[in-house]
Amino acid sequence: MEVAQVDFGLLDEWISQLFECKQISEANVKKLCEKAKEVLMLESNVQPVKCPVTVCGDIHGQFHDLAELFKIGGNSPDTNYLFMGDYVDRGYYSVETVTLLVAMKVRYPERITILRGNHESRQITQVYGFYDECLRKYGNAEVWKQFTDLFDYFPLTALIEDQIFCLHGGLSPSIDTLDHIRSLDRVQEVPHEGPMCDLLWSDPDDRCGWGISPRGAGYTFGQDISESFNHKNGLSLIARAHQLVMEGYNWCQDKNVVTIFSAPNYCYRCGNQAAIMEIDENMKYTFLQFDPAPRRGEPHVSRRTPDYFL
Amino acid sequence: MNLYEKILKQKFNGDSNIPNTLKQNFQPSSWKGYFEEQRTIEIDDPDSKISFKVYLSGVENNGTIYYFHHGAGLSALSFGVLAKYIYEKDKTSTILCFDGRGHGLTESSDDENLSLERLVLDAKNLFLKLFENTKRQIIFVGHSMGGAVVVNLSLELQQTYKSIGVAVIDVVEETAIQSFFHIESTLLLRPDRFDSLPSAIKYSVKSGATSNVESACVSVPPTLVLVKSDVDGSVETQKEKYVWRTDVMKSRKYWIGWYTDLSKRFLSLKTSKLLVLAGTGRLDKELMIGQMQGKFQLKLFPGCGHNIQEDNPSDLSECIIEFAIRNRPLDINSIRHQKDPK
Repeated sequence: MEVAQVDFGLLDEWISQLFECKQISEANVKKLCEKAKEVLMLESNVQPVKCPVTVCGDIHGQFHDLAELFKIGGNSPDTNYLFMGDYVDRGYYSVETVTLLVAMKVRYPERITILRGNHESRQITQVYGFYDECLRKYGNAEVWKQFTDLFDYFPLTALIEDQIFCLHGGLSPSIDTLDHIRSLDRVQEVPHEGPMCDLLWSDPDDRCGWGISPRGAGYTFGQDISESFNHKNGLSLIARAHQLVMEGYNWCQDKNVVTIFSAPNYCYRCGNQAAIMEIDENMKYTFLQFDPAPRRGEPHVSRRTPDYFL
Repeated sequence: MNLYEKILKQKFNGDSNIPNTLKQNFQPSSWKGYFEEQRTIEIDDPDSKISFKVYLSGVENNGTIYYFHHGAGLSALSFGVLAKYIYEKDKTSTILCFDGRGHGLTESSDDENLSLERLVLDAKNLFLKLFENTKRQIIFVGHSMGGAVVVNLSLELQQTYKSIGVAVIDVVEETAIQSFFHIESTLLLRPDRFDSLPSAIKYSVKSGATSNVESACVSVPPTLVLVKSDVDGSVETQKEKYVWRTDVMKSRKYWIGWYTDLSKRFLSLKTSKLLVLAGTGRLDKELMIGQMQGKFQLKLFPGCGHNIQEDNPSDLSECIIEFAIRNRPLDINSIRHQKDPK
């Protein structure tokens, strides 16, 4: 796959600047997003990925922890990465985080896969922080617009060696097969309901069958559902993110499903560990857990007392 | 432009309807524009007699029951505009809002007992009196202190009633407890009397308690009572004034009880749960973890103040109705093989 006229020198410059947690200019964001669109539109809704690869969950703008993740997992492109969405919102550095990941995607399209999470949406980012951060850091909403337009092109799911199915949320009662996912028209804002919404919002549950999701979007699915989906599609495992798990990863549903969450001490207050899942060339998995990176010069977590009454 | 207009303009972001609201005279409006009927319902509790003022719409209906509990110092009519919108959009529903003990037009033999246990028992007694054998879907909606009441009420009722949803508006245990000091100073700084209801309504809008003038016109009057004041003891100088119906400071000893363990109790509910907040910064650690584990629905109204039901009743009514519809029993066959909406 060749993408026309990618200036690797410039990209490398941006990437090293971003690794210092310094944003790139609005004009460069625009150029980057144009390139990224060309790369991402060629990818499938079920993007094939080869092993070895390291699978990561939610990041949520915790830039310093992403840098720590690369220290622990290995630098790109030496290590292949698959990120399962939720790069933005809640943390203080959504701009630097998502710009870095997109720049790496454009620089090494075969080495890194970035899926869409439920936060990669216009609606959610307006409430949970990314929009405000863009306004604060660029003085206007153009960068937010560039990125949220780009999010529409992010693939929804990935498939490692035809065996491990990776996505942000979970299964959908309106989807039985991977071919059904391949046939979805993904280039749109995340809808409020329907299969595309479910893939980004659903959660596994201890109860059998389908359930109403307490989140207000997507569904819950039981072990019977994941077992039969894996069986029907010849899969060994569903790897997903979306839920905070205190150890950073969590097996459930008799090892049909694993949850991976890569934002340690989520939102600077949850006290959880983070994890990534390394899959080697023999498809064996190892989990690497990590704690929050030491922070220098990060805004102090001070929460204004809200203007509450009783 | 005077300072007041400037503040309003900032608050509304230069919204074009400002001039109209400024022209309004902050005249009080009646409950009649928002509910079908008003009733007085007496409960013979052995410990404390109470006569509730209750506002209802759709009494004969058999759809969803929306049962509301207001916050401290407010009244049933804090939900007036919201209740009207919900009833307009969910025509088969029954809406019930009531003035809690020590508030609004409710009268009791012990107005000052605002302990959590007492308030929960009151809300339960009234609910059972009207709906004891119901099989209908019930959505409990509580604002602030009322949020604590409906969470604890639902913990008691969830075994008996199978289709309950709990919606809590703008209250979180940790941030509420942290703001007690701020609340005390707010109470000290606010005027203790008004010459007229319009001036009280105007104050409510000016101070930012309610940014929506229509809401303020219906919600503020029942929070005040008219008293005769003797300026210097002679009949000639007797003057009418309005004072707060509820002396919120007197309930100070109960505050901690309202909110202690609220996050844990909310998360432990087996019912469907909706938390509506004016800002994401208000989540405490326990609720942040719960939210990130998908244990409840979180809806943010960043442009609103604490009285979300008064500031943005239209969007909140849609949010609550969607919550109710979504949490009705699941018919999976109707969902299978559906297409993405375009």
